[in-house]
Amino acid sequence: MTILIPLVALVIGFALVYRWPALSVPIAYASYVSIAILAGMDAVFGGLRAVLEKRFDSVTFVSGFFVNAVLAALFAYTGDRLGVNQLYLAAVVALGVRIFYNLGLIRLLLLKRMVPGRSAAILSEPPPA
Amino acid sequence: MKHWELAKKDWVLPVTLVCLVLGALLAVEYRSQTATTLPGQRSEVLAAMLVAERDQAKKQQDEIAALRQEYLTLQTAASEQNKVNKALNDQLEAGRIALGLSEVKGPGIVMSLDDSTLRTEAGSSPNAAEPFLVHDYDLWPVVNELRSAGAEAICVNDQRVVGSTAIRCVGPVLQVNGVPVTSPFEIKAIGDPKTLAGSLTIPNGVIDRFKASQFPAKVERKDEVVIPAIGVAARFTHAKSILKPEAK
Repeated sequence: MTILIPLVALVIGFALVYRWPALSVPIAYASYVSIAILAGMDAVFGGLRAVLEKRFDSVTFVSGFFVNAVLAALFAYTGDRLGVNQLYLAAVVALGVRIFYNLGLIRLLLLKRMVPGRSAAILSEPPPA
Repeated sequence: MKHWELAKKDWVLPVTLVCLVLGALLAVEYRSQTATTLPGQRSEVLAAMLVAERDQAKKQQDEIAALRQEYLTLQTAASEQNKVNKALNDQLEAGRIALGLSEVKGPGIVMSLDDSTLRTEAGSSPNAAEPFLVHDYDLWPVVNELRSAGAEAICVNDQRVVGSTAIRCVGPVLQVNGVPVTSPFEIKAIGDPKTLAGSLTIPNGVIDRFKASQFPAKVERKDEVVIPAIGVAARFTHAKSILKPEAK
């Protein structure tokens, strides 16, 4: 159950920072952090899917996590500066669709592993570019 | 557990590290969010918060009132400052007129002057015509008389005459402010029309002298004369004001 190791790390990371009250962002920037978190989750699920598809690449994964998180936050920030406050919604929708798509694929890949003779199922919805 | 033995094991470390960071980010966000939302507390806690907020609002309203009062005081002070500004503006306006920086209008006179009606005999040399043309030294006394009669602005053929203006002949042409002007001349001046006209038409004055040489010259009083601004404003690169130390 190697999957438990990252889960434990998630909890540890949460606990470490949560015990440290000084580490919080101003309310004005909280929304950008949430977008960054969404992008990070997208990267993690994408990475897990790649693991199951046996095409995981650690450099792609780590760079994708950090760069996407920063870019997503910047995207939302740019929207606010431009007066298009809803621009973050575009990021939420795009990342949400991708997360659910990846989760669905992970589920199918796991089923394929656990149930012998199951063919590789493909989700009807293609991933957004 | 053969199924979980994934081909590549090297995914565990990166994913673990990234999850650590993600957890930290979640904690930061959770903190920030809980700090903002109104806690779902019991009503007495909320009532205490309401009282505190009301106190805060009252304080801020008092501050607004104090700032308004201060604004009013400053505004009164500013209107007194405006009197100083007006004096400065008046000075500036006088300077602009003196330097010829703006077009000006007002009552005054228009004087016309042309080359002499006397003609040289046919076949004489071009230099023989010299005495019958208007020269720089013909215009100097005109400008001089007008100034002494209190002209506030003067122009010769729409060239403003200011402190830095030179009126001189360069070869066959007459230049005012370095700009060639030709006869017939029209000299305009703003000032008291009666005084200005009188200064030119007094017996044996400039007009009389022009007439004696058969130069057509006449002066007209006008209710309104418009005098243009100078083309190129004077530059002061060498002269520096000597300011007396201010007495305070």
